[in-house]
Amino acid sequence: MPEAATDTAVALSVESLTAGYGPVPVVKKATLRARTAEITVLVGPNGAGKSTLLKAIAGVLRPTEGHVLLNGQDVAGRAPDRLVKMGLAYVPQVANVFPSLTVMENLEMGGIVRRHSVRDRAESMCELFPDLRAALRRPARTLSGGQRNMLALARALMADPSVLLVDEPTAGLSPRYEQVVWDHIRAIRQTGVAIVLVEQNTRRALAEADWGYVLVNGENRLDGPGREILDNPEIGALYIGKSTTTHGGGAGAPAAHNGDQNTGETAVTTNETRKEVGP
Amino acid sequence: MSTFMHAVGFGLVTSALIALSAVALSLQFSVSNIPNFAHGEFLTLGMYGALVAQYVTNNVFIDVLVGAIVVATAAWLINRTIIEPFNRRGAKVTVLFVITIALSFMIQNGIIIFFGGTTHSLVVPSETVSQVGPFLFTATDMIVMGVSVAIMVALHVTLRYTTFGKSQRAVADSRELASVTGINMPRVVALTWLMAGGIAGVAGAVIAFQGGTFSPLTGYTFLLVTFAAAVAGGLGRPYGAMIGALILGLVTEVGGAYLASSYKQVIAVGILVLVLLIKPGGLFDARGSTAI
Ligand SMILES: Nc1ncnc2c1ncn2[C@@H]1O[C@H](COP(=O)(O)OP(=O)(O)OP(=O)(O)O)[C@@H](O)[C@H]1O
Ligand SMILES: [Mg+2]
Repeated sequence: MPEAATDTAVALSVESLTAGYGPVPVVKKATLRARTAEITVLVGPNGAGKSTLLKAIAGVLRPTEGHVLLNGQDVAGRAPDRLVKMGLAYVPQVANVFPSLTVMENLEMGGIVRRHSVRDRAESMCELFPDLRAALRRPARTLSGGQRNMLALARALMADPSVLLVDEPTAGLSPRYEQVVWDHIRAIRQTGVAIVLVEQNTRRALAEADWGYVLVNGENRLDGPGREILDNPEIGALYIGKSTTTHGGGAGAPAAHNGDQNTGETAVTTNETRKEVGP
Repeated sequence: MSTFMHAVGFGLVTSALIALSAVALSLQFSVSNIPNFAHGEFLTLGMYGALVAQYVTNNVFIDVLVGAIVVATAAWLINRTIIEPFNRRGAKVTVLFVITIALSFMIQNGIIIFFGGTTHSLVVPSETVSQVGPFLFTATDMIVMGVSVAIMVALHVTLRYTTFGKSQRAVADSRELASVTGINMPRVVALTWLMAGGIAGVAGAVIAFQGGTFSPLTGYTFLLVTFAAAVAGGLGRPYGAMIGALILGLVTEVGGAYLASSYKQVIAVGILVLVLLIKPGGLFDARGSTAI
């Protein structure tokens, strides 16, 4: 419900943010809002700049322009570790755990900005992610892909964030694990965290989202309630890929006609093949 | 005593020296990612630090400690004023490596300007010889091995059980992930230079005590054997470096005893080349990472 959404607090507000890796900006004047206890989904073609936008918010890249308001405070350009202290957690798309550290040590590092009661929080992470408990003393490199994504989420939650940025938590996972990850993300939303999610499985993600943003060529193309974007035939055909994965939560099926119109080179994000398609 | 046992005894002492040097190099490399060519001069600075301290006191432990403090400070400053600024501008590892080569010659010549190019000697503690199992060790030998083992244990405890040590391993795994996890990455890197410098200073000072005399080039001559031990153990793995040092110390001393002592460096190169040919990731390489 968009009306209800505007009533809740904005935890993260990104305003005309420009960032990139060199002189040429990859993300151009992007805008994004994330509200407490909501899932905000960011979708778009491969190379649209979704990961780059998350990195610029998390302080990995220094924005050349624009603002990042974290709980009302402008934090653009601050060092990543300071942002974690202020309540921003980020799970990168790749290399999201410390492979040579044990699972427990990964969790401890996640809690390094909130030193007290680290053990208690690690314990509650094990309750949230039961897979981790059996592996606590094992190096993270021995985990499966799905377990790694769980550990990465748990590691980020150890900092007790108010805003959680997650880059493709279901990439490469079997449908069963994908389901489990979504269950966890919904559980995390329940605790009052503002979640910003980048996803390849656009259809599924928008069905779950409280609010969705479509990013194309580093620019905002569209935003709105997830289901409205899904049902928008023009945008759906252009930027949302065909997906055979049936959606889990939420009510009603996504509009079926979108997938059938998905032809041509601009079509991109499909879940099954994570290959680079299109320009 | 047989030649063999005699050589093994020497080998153990040599291993203790190499281990200190190699562990310092490996620790610094794993966290900072820079192969430090000036490591030999770190050792030398430790020797001259101990020498200066000996004008004040003959207490070996204080002299070694002064050597450690001198090198820890130097290493911290080098990171702060040279390495870190280049890093922030995105300098490549090769560029930083060349910078450490330049540093190596600068420190070497700085020492020559201050202390002259001739050899100096340290007053060693009373040379009582004691029998330990099949080996004969001097008091200095015992101190060297004791200091080495103590530092290895302290390092192990730091890396495994302290939050700081774990964050060092996290930074070694991935700088970017460490930062976004909330670790103050630049601080961890800076303190690692300090720590590795301190260990290198201890290594230099005990090398000088054990050898008795040293010159501005003594540390440099240890660079090869240090790299050989560190690479054999898998560069960037302090634990591997300990074992690599044990292997190198024993093989060079035993080999040197049967061939000629001048063959020690050749044996070290031989081991280095063999490891690089057969197991480039080091003898204990499971995966290709530089995990501690
Ligand atoms: N480290 C980097 N250095 C230079 N350019 C980069 C780097 N990472 C990404 N880029 C470029 O930035 C653009 C956006 O990449 P980004 O990873 O943000 O896209 P994305 O939307 O996350 O794509 P995907 O869906 O494939 O993950 C691409 O053109 C890419 O080539
Ligand atoms: Mg991406």
